[in-house]
Amino acid sequence: MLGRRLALTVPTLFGVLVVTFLLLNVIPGDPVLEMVGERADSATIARLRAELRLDDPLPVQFGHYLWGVVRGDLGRSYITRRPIARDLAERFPKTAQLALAAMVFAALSGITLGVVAAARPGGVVDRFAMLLSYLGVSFPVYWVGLLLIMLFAVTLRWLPASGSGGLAYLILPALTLGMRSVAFLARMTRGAMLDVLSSDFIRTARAKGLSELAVVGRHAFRNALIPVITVLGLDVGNYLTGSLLTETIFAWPGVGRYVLAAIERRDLPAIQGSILFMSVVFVLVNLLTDLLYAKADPRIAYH
Amino acid sequence: MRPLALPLCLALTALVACGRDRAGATGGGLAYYESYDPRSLDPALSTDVPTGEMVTCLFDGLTQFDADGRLLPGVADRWTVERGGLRYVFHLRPGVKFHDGRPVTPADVRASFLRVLDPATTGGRAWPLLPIAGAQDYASRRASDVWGIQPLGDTAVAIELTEPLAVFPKFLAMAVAAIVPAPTAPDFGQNPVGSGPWKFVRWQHDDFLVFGRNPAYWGGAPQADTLVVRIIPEPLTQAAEFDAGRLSVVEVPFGETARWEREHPDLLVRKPGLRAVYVAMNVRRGALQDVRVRQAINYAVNVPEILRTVWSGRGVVARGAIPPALPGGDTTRRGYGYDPARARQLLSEAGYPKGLDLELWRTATNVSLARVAQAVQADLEKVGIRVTIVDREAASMREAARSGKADLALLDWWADYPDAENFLYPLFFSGNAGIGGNYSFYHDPETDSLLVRARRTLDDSARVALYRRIDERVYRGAPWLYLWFPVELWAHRPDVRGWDLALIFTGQRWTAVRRTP
Repeated sequence: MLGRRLALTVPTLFGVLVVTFLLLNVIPGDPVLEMVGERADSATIARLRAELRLDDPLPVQFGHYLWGVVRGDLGRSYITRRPIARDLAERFPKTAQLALAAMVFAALSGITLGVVAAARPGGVVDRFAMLLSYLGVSFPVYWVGLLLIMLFAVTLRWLPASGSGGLAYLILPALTLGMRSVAFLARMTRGAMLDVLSSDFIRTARAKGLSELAVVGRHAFRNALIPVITVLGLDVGNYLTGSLLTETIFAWPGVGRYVLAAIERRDLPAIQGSILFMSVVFVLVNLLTDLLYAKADPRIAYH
Repeated sequence: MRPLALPLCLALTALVACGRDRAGATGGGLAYYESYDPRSLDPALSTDVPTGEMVTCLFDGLTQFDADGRLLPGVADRWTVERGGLRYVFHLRPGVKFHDGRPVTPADVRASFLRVLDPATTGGRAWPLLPIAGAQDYASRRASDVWGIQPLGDTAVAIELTEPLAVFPKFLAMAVAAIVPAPTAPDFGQNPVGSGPWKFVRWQHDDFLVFGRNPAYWGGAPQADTLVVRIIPEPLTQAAEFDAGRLSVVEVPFGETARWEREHPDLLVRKPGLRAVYVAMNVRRGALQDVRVRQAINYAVNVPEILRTVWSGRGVVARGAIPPALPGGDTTRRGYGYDPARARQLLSEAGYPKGLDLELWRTATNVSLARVAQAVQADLEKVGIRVTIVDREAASMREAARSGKADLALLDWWADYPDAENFLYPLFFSGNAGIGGNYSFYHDPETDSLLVRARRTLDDSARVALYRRIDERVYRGAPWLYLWFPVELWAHRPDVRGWDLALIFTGQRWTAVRRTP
């Protein structure tokens, strides 16, 4: 079953390759003009085009690219001349670190908030938790990030404002990135819990004299997990493909900034390679999410 | 809770695994920053400011600039000009060594220039070396050597040019002409070896670079032990890092000008930049072909007011294209001034009494510059010129302006080398229309011939006089809406001594800078 799912990703990824390749060839902005800068001459431009094989017919360029991809070679950046696969391999661990830290923060606080809120709907805790989650979805990331920097890095000097390194460097960007997920997860968990708590089997559990903790924590929570896993899966997928704003504010050396720089400079092979890489990550995360469904709910199975 | 156990474990492992601290955090050293990762540390690929600044720290050229933009001897301690400016002989300073201990020889100079010109290098900006005789042929693979570069024994290099070019010694101070030990390893851009004041230690992409002091530097070893260069894209984060004491210097963010002038007046350093902000008017398009329309636009826009409100007053109103910091710059010239009545009159004389429609292209991502576009639009509206703003990101906008599709293009021009020539020849010589830098497509035979004459004039005062004359002439022809020359505003930490804001980005070597305990 896993093998079949994996095989199905191949056409998806091929489609991504074709579409990106075509799109990159029609967007305005010439990579060679970006390389030569503000002051150039036509002879230099012609030489560069020839050297980068930009004058080859599109199918030939694509075939050349595809052949490289099949052998695991994403080519070299036009601008830096470094191998793109190595660039991505250098940055992805940073992005993954941040994504996981953000998700741990979001899952722990979001789910806890949601469960606690659902335990007494309409109570003080519930209202407070929902207010928090409202604020979480409404505040712009950029603003929250800068505010955190001002407070913790400049005024209190507890944490570094930007860069990567030890655990201390991870805290502010992870809070910023995870904030939206906390808010969303809290609402999601609360809703799912309320649904489950009003169902027959919970009434049965309560009737047979189980403690409230066992009812909420064991029986209700496990059954409320499916929608929560969906949200988590989607967010992890997004975070693992780079989070542009957070990476920019905190000077975090991840995949998001790499792609942005590539787009700004029309570094075609770097854009193409990054998009392919992101697609692979996304597909794999979705696959993992599906597998987790089956774990959480025995009724779901893949054949 | 079992389904969550695996991802949780993974996450915790990752958190613990990243517990090592970063190398070379500031300590007692200097901390500088760039807004984006350098393209490479290979001089042959230096086309952007970060690369140029890093190459300046690690390498030497035959000549170099100081912080005030003066041309100084570099690896060549003297040079002679022969045959009316066609031949230069550079005498190498004795005892200069690369960081690996090898001496810098004339053969290295030759090999360094050849690898910049080699089309396989794909640097894209070999133009400072193309005036050398035989360079064009080598770059197009029509010759296997550049005959214009001849090592003379172990101590000198002769360079022949195709025609006299007064600014050539300044071209050689640019990062692209830095001397590298030949032959270079394939990963030279990642692990560079130069002869400059700083040795390369480490480069974590998009994160930081670490340089160590070169104690044997011929120009005097740096005062500080290390120079860490952080890569920080967001200006407000840069400022926060400075406030937190983790950057030695910082450019004051635009919106923060007033606050910093109030709170840190003693830490600020300001210098007129070698940079011009302008609107290129395409003189080949429609109504803009008429000089009266272009002059009307210059009368219609209240430049001092826009400079004050939109640019925090950080600039000097331009009455020409040469910045005031350069010989030849003239900001006292009789300017157009703000005169909407005169603008309307010129428009009617040109046959547009009911006004006209124009497109103004701008780069939306450059926020400060984008605001200027709105202010210009509002002023032009008042005299009947209806401006549509076209927002594109940098690459698309440049392509449109270069191919002549834009009526008006809001641009800024940064100097590559400190010379009036850099603000006239690329920008107004007809042969440079479009891709060469002349976005106005300005063409005036008299200007062309004066520009060529100035380039061949070796006497500096005569040359400067010519540039002043050309600037005046072009100003009257109004191919630009002349806006202003920005004044750079930076701050240094109170414990940072000996730092001076460099006029040109290749003029900062960080050798005299230190931190007091």
